Amino acid sequence: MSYSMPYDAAYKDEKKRQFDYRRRSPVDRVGAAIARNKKTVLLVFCTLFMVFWFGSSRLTLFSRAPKIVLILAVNDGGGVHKWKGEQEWAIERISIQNKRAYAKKHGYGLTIKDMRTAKRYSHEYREGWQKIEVLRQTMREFPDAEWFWWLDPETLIMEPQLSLEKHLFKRMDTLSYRVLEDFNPLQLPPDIPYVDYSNEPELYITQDCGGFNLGSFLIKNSEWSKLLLDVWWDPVCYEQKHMMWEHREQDALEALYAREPWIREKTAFLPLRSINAFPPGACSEFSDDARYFYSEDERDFVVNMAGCSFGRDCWAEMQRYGSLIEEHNHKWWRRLH
Amino acid sequence: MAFKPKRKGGTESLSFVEEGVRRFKTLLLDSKRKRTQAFSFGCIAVVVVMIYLLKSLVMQKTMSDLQLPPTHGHYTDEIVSLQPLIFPPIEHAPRLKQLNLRKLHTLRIDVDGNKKYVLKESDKSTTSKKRKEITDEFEIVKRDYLDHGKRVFSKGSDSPEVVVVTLVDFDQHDTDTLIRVVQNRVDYAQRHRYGVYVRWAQEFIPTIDNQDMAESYEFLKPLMMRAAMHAFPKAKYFWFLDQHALIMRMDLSLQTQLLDRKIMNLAVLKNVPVVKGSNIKTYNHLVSERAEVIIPQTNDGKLDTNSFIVKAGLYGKAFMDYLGDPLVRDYSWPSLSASVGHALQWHPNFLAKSALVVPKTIASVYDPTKPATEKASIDVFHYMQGDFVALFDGCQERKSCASDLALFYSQVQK
Repeated sequence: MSYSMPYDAAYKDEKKRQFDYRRRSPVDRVGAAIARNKKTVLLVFCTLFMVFWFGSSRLTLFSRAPKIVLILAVNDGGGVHKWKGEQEWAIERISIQNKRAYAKKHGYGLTIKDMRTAKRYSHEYREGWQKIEVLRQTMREFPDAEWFWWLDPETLIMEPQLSLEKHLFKRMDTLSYRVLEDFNPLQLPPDIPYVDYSNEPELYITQDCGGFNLGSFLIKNSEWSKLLLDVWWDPVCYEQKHMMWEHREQDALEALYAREPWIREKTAFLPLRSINAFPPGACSEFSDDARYFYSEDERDFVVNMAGCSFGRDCWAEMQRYGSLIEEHNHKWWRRLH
Repeated sequence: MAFKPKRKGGTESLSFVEEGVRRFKTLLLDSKRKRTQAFSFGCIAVVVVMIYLLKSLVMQKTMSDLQLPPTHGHYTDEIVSLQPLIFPPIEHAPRLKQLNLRKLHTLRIDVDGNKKYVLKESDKSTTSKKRKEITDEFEIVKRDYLDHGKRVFSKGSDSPEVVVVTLVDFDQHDTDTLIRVVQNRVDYAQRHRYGVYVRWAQEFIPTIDNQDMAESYEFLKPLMMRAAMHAFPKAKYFWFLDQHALIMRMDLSLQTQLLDRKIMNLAVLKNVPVVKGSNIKTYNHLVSERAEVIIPQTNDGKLDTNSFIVKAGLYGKAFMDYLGDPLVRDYSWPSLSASVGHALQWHPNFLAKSALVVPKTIASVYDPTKPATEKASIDVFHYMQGDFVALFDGCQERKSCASDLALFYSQVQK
């Protein structure tokens, strides 16, 4: 081995030829440019990688607290009373995936809450308290959020391209109703003293054939809501009614709505089909009433397979509506493979 | 041949379009025709404004279609009172006692034989013309009794900041005693430009399930407060003062006595058990001016519901609604103060907006066994001469309510 190579004119020429700008192919040119600016390229690559991997919203520069947060309750019961089967896991997975994609698409927050049966809720005073505690905890978690949208696990967002602003908030005035004159399945008193309807509603719920339905509802992040969540569960009321209140927090809210004007004045109702449409199996006694059931032609926003675990086939329903979403949102490029 | 006219027409229409464009340009862009331009732009602006206005008119129409029911009290009809002093004609008390609830309200008997008085919400107020035509004295008394619940303070006038609220019972007291009670409130309110809201306790009986006055009187207080808040929609503070109490110092305003921030801070009890023996304590970090419910706590740790102040905010209203909710109200509480204690212990959001204060401020209790002269300073709880308020708590057991009220009414410092 020698320290210096003998001078080779031919080699030198070859190198010169390679570096000759005009003769090189475009790929070579790009390669050369990269070779010259290694550090810059590395930086750009790292940035792109970060953006791709973590999502642009996670970077501090772009991140802002979401104004609307979806709360998805999963693991209801938590496999305490029976084994959780394969289909239950699959249902949960589909449901979570559905909301995650929706929240990501529209820049909403999503929080998934475990609703497993906990011992502290098993006392008769505390049964059904869990939903309220989860809501309160979420309000602490997202102090800057304006609205929370609660969703039960067996729901599917059927029209993921629709934003909540477009679908609901922009037309709340015409869509929602506040007086139970036309639709009052519980026969609650339609008018009680001291209700001041000049307040903007801060709780939007739906009514099904059996009364209030809390499978999918919207609650504002406000002082009023926090007070409502505090008063909602009261041991004295529950002690008197726990034999009758089959649907726990739903019945408790109905009782509060019926008697306390401060709650009634900020509660409004959305048509069931706007955020909480039923499959034909639920409310089956009213199967000819179109107000309750999901309509494929009218492309209802959300379907809630409420009560599917009571004698119905959750998995079949989930599959059916899942394939409907696929069908409705079929993109042309999907056909390529 | 068929080709020609078509072509001709084509060129003609083209020139027509060109002509139009040219004219349009001269009209809008030619610098020589500024006047015409100003005029035409003005016309366009006017038309746009007109469309906008018409649109808003149409929009308003659709909004009025969705009109929501107006806020109302137990009666849907209302009588506007121009005076901030709303109290019933006390001289009717003996006749009302004779009439009794049986004749004042409708008694409904259901299939199981349960008897219940009911309120007719749609009852219309009597016009003064009609009232003059009534000759039967008892009928006039009845009409006045039914109309009293419809009275609200006029929205247009200057609202008082504080309203003194009292619930009087015509079955329990004679006219003289009732006049002393009401006159005391009215004198005080007039001096400080406060409002007064006095109702017959009997008026509320048909709105509740347990219609026994002796058992239910206490639980009517939250309902009464809510009625007062409705009658004075712009007032800030509502001070409930029991009928067995007198304001002894006419010169002290409620602001200087309690509501002023500095005084409140001195009077508020922080970090004390909410009720005796409770492990829930009042908050150390309570911001006293944000408190919406102000309740005195007696020496033995009891919440005194004979004299308390509620602010007409979200929490104040919600607290009264909660206490008045039939599920809460009809629970077997030993007293109203027990249900208030329950609310404060179980609902931290209420506790955070509630101030427990020393009783000397608005709730000194008169004890006949202890001297009430200033020299013999007994304790900080019982009434002494110079205190703001004297409560005759326990006078019903002593059977001395009327005599106590008469004795102290003569001592009121004006």
